[in-house]
Amino acid sequence: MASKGNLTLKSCNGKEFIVEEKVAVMSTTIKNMVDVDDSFAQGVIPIIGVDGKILAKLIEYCKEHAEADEDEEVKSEEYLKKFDEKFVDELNLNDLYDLLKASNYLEITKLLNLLCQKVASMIKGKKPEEIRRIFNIKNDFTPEEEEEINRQNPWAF
Amino acid sequence: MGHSLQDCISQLPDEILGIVLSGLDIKEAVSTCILSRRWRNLWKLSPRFNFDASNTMRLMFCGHKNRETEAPKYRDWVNQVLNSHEGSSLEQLRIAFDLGKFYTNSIDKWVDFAIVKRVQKLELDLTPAGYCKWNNSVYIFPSWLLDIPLDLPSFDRLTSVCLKSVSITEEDLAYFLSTCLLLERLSIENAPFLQNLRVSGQSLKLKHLEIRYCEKCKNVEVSAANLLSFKYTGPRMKMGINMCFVDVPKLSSVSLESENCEEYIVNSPSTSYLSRLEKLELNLKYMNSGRHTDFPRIFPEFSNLKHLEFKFVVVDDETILFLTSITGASPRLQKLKLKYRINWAQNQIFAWAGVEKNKLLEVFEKEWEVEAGKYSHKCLKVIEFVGWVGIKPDVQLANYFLDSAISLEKIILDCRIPHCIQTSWGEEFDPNEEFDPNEGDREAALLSAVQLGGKLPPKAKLIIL
Repeated sequence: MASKGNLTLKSCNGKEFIVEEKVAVMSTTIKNMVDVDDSFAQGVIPIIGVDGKILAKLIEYCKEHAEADEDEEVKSEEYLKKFDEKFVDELNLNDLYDLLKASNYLEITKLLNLLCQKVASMIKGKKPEEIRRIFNIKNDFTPEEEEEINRQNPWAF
Repeated sequence: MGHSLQDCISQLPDEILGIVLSGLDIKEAVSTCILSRRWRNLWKLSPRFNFDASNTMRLMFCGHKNRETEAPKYRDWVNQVLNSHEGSSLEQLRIAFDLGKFYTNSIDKWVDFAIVKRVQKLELDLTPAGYCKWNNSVYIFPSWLLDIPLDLPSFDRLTSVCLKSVSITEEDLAYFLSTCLLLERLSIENAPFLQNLRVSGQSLKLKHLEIRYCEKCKNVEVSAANLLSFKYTGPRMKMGINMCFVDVPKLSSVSLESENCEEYIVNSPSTSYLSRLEKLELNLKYMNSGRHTDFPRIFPEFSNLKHLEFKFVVVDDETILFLTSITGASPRLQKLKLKYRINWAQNQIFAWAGVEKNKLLEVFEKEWEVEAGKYSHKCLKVIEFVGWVGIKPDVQLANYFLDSAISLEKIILDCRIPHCIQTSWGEEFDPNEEFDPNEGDREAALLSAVQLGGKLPPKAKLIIL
């Protein structure tokens, strides 16, 4: 059991992580659980659908940001920016998707926005064909449909 | 897992892909509709719409494009995109184009759209692509839309409002302040007929308040328990604007940009908040010779001030030692930053007119040297000169601090010239591109920076950029 001020998070494949409460409550979902039901604060919080590898990543991110929120003198904005950049740069596509889903489910808004920004930057400035290749998107339009979309899409200023 | 060859991105929930698309500009977000059936309508769920047309606006500003043809195009673009929107709510709506009263019908519809979608951040920037004339063609905020029955969607989720070149009344602003209980940021620019702004109320969450170029504004009364920052940019503050800060226990950051803003500080009726400030930014605009003679010698004490930033334009052979009357009143100052440009023309004008200005100014300069000698700067650790040229104004001040700042750890001499742009309000430091591509005499600046290094106290580091 976690000592006072700490929470235990358990991944879907059974890995347990003891983290400081301030780190865990970066997740609004966890915060709501702890606020509503005191027993969570004592026992183990199951994190459904998130495996150990992804949960470790989430905790790594939350740790950095929770400490920064507490004392901005220790970790400057610049430091956090660099951390964020490195954090998303090191992710492969699969981890990126899993983290996106997990941060959405756990409502870690800052991280969710960061990851979405990463995906957006991978789309930015690219032709449809390139975007499809990067993300393995299958073009399931018929040529006629495609032509029609191109025709009725004047929505650019 | 090992799903690398699958189309995993398309399997992400709508709300996540909506956020992804809101990170793109609208044109790019819309064009993802061609990717596949899954993506056909996804962009319509984007929770943020930033109708940015800054490139076109720039071209209009210099006359390469014309407003009469561009404005209707912009209007149609916004209408088409908003009509297609399918999300139930909206995080952000930003309209930014030179649109006046003539487009009232459309803009009213957009404001109504923002209300219906319970927008969180609203920016209506109708700044003209040219000089602002404060005339009657400014769009008038639709007060009638604020008359909302209780059971209908309203501005109840609004956290941030920014209105530029929108005529808004005191009453409408009072509406935002009293009914939008989540409002944290309020920014008003060029509200041409606004005379009084009262920011008060017990449930006020407001953290950031900004007022820019409200020509007719005479009274600003602020009593906001949660206010952290205040910014004012405007015409000469001397011209009689009353700003009254009553209950602002958390106010820690103030930025004033106006000729004679220093006089405002000295003469303002309520100065008690000054002692709590941690960050102060003063844009002193153009400092002509008169500044020497008039600059206040005694300021109220900034007991908690840690960061101080000056921005200004100064004549090439004049002293700026008088700035020490502010640093000297800030016993806890840790970081000082100066961002400036030099005006080189002045000397020639005097020479041409056959006037010997230096004789008179020398007298004042001697006085300032004496005044400055009285101050110590025990906590000052970092000094940054942005726009270092290595001539009279900056060299003299740098030398002064090398002597008086006994705890100095770092002095940064940035020899790049700050970039200025022409805006609707005249020349201003460019908020987007920090440095001027034209370098000026960089070699001379670098040389003088290196020379200054020889005078450094043992513990201090010199950084030249």
